[in-house]
Amino acid sequence: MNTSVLVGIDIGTTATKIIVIDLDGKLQGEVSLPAALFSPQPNFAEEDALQWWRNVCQGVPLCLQQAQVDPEQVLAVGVSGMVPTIILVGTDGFPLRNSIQQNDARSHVEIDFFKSQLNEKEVFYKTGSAITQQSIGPKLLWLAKNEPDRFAKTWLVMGSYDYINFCLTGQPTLEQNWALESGLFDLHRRDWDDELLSLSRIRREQLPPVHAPSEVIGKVSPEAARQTGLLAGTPVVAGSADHVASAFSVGLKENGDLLVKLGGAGDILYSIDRLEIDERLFLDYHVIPGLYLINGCMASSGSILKWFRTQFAPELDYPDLDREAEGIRPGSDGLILLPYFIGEKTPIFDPLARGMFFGLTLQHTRAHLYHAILEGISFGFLHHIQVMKERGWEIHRVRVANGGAKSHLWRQVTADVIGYPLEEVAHHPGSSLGAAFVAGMGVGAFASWSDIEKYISISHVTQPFLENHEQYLQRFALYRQLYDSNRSHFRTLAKIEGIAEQVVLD
Amino acid sequence: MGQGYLLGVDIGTYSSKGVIVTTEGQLVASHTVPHGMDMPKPGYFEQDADQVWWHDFVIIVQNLLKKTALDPRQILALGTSAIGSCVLPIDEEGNPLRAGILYGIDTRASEEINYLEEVLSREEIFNRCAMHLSSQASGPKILWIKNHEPDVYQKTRWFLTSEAYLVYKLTGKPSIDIYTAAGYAPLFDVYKKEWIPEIAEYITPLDRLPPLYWSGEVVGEVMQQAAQQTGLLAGTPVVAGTTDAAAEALSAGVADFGDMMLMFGSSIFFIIKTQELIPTQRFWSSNFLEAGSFAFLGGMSTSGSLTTWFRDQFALLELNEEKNGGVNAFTSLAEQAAHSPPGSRGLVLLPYFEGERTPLHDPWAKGLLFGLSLKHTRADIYRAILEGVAYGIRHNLEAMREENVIPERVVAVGGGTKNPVWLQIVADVCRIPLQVPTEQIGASYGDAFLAGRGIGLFNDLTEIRKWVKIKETITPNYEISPQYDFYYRLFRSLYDQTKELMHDLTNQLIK
Repeated sequence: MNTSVLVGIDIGTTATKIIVIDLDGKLQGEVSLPAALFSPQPNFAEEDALQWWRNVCQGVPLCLQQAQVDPEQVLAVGVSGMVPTIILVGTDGFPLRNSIQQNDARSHVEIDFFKSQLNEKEVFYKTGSAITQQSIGPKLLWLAKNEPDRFAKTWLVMGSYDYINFCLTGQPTLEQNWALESGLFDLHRRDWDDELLSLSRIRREQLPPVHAPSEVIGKVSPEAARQTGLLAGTPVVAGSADHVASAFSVGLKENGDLLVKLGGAGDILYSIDRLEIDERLFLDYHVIPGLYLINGCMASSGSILKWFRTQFAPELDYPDLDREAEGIRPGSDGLILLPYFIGEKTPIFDPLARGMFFGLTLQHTRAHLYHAILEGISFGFLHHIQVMKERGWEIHRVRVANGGAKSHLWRQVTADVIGYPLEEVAHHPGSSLGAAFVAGMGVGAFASWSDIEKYISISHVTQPFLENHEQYLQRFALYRQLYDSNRSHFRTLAKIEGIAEQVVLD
Repeated sequence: MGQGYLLGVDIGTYSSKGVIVTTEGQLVASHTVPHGMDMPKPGYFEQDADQVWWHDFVIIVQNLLKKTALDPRQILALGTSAIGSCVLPIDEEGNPLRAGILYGIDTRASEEINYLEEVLSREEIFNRCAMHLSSQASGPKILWIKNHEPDVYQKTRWFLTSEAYLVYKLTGKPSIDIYTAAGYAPLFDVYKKEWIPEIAEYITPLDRLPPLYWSGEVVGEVMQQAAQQTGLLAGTPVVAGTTDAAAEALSAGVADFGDMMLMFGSSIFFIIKTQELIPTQRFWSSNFLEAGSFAFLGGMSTSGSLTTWFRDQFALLELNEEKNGGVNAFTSLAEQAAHSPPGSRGLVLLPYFEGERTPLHDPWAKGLLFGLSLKHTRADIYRAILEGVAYGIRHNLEAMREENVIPERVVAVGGGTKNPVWLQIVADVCRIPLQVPTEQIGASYGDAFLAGRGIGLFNDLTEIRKWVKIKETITPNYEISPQYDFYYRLFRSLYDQTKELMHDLTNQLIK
């Protein structure tokens, strides 16, 4: 009963997740409580930060109980979450309104205003973030214009896990990834940019101090101890953004490590040991000091497979569809898919792009279409890898995770297309593991960041077939030209459909 | 002896069909026989003249006579049509020397085409034949026989088409109709309507090519031996028939100048009757079935083949329901497509799943489905297929207009006309009313009419109007048409912008 443990908490869009890990690589407890997303108007995305806190208060005791540990065994607590959300905190420490989520798209007028006032490229190279619907500045301006009373009462602005940290410790802080993704922070000076703050109508003192993920920012307060069952005085670290903690939790820990996530969207993340800014990709701080996490996100990926199954094969499950497509040759007999079914984020940033099947013949079957979807998604990943190679960033190791990684076919197609062996990480708990480990590093529970490997098991290594890869490279050239040749058609289509005005055009 | 009747028989790619009709065009009986096709090598397509063509004819006539219990004397005349133009060499005794080489799907004579274009010049061929050589042309196939099967060539007395072989078996007389003879390029001068002596030395002496007739002219009478085999009366007049497409157009009531048949088969086929021969690079043109009339033709590569593909790949539930006695799968898909709005919620399909014939002439063109998003349903995609074919039809009609060919009346026939949603889409996209005949019997009906013309029952072929009744006219909804204009322009641009990529893809695939 004397083993030490760490608590990791993740504030997700649909759930608050709490885990307990020991120091030897084992998960001891896992609890998940639902959270609700509100959309009072189209394009609005909000949540109730107090619901997250109630989930923490309810979930931590349950998780400790499940793990059969006493609160005194908890060495430290780390929290991760969505980023960048906005929580306006009043002087009483309570939120003044619901959170405004990172994917909330209410501030398009303010985005245009920011763009008109600023040199976008300059802002990008200064802050590492483009001016997009994710940016914090335009959203604060929206609040100032539309909810002046509340905005005037704002004592502090925080992000999702920063607010939970504040509830736990009473210390207002911001983790550095919020600062980076806010678009208000000068990366080179590591300080807020006054011009951007003034456009956002926010004062410097309304932004709490910025911390690195593993810095201990405070201790659990007696009040929080009463509510959560944790011991007062338990150290709490700054934590990290969910995707950053999650990438680390599957072993992205050195320069050149790459992670491909086969989920509903297609995320690809890359560890690098220096600050590099590229307009085609996103940038974050890694949880490990000195490293950065360059990342890309394809707006749709597994969601296309789900769409295909729903529309064309409701009677089949994914393994059946995989079996049906197993006999299809690489290249799907000339069928190419552009996977931009809800527009695309990285690396082309084109909200108006759409999906396309190209090269259709009467010889193609349902299985060909399914196989072409897997290839199209993989081409999307290869596109990101080509951008990295073009920048001279070396890839040393590739891991693959999330739901799609369980599919042998999807893994093989991905390996063949990108041309690297893929190490599949079996059932990892995700960002809460990263948060718990970061907490451990903060209190010296681990000797090295590499100890994260204790928690990771590799279930498969999928080797690429090089002759397939060669063939895919040729097909990929067509894939790229296909988008270029149709870029103007996507704009025409948006005009016909009358959606061009609603989307911020580049 | 009672009332008189007319007999028509058509030999198709996959089946043959015969009809007996009254002289007023009333259908009395029909009979269909399925058959196959031989593919001895890739690109080679053949049918045995006796085991398929003549065999089918005999079975059909015997069955029709049995079904109707008619006295053979009541059959006043008969006509034939077939897939075309095919090449069958027969010897002095009338015996086939090899299997019949089929029409455009047989691509064996590509070297002969290159040779003939070199020695005769493409331009010169076009000036006399109003077409360029392609796998449709029979001249290069005759040369192929000469080059590859010299024994066969030596023994050949006549080169005949499939429908003419039936006429020959019945009457002992060689013949070819003037419409079909255009397919014997580069041997036939479509302006002078005669075989070209100067070209003979490059392919075959002219005395092996049959005498020319207008369709519906009497070639001869049923001989004793054929009478015994078929049950027909010896002495029954037999007319020169034609290629199935022309007979089909006649059967659809293409009578006046400006009448167009729009055939919704596995592909789309257009025939329009014109007042003059209009030589064109993008379409085909020829003499029509009687003196002073001409045909202007176009054809797409897919249509029903696309809806069938979609049904077989993606509508297994509907197919099962149909098998269990439920609604026809196509009907059910069409109903679903009707709930998707014009434009299929932002989808555009290029129907070039088999390349494209007119007006693109691009065998390497490919199918493309543009504009996909996660909101699209299977019904939207099915509708996009129907619309894509409609855009292809409009593209053809616009290109025809550039050649000054403007249809004044369009009659829609074929399996696709059972789909009212599709017809409405085509009418709206193209802004043309579509007339649908009450009965769609097909080419054999036109053959029977030609037989009647041969024995003087009709003064000319325009009298087919009396036979063909229009069931309904699908009129365009002019409020919807403008919506399609945007998508149509996108459709055109999609091909123009991706044509190179389609060709690059084909190059990657054949490597």
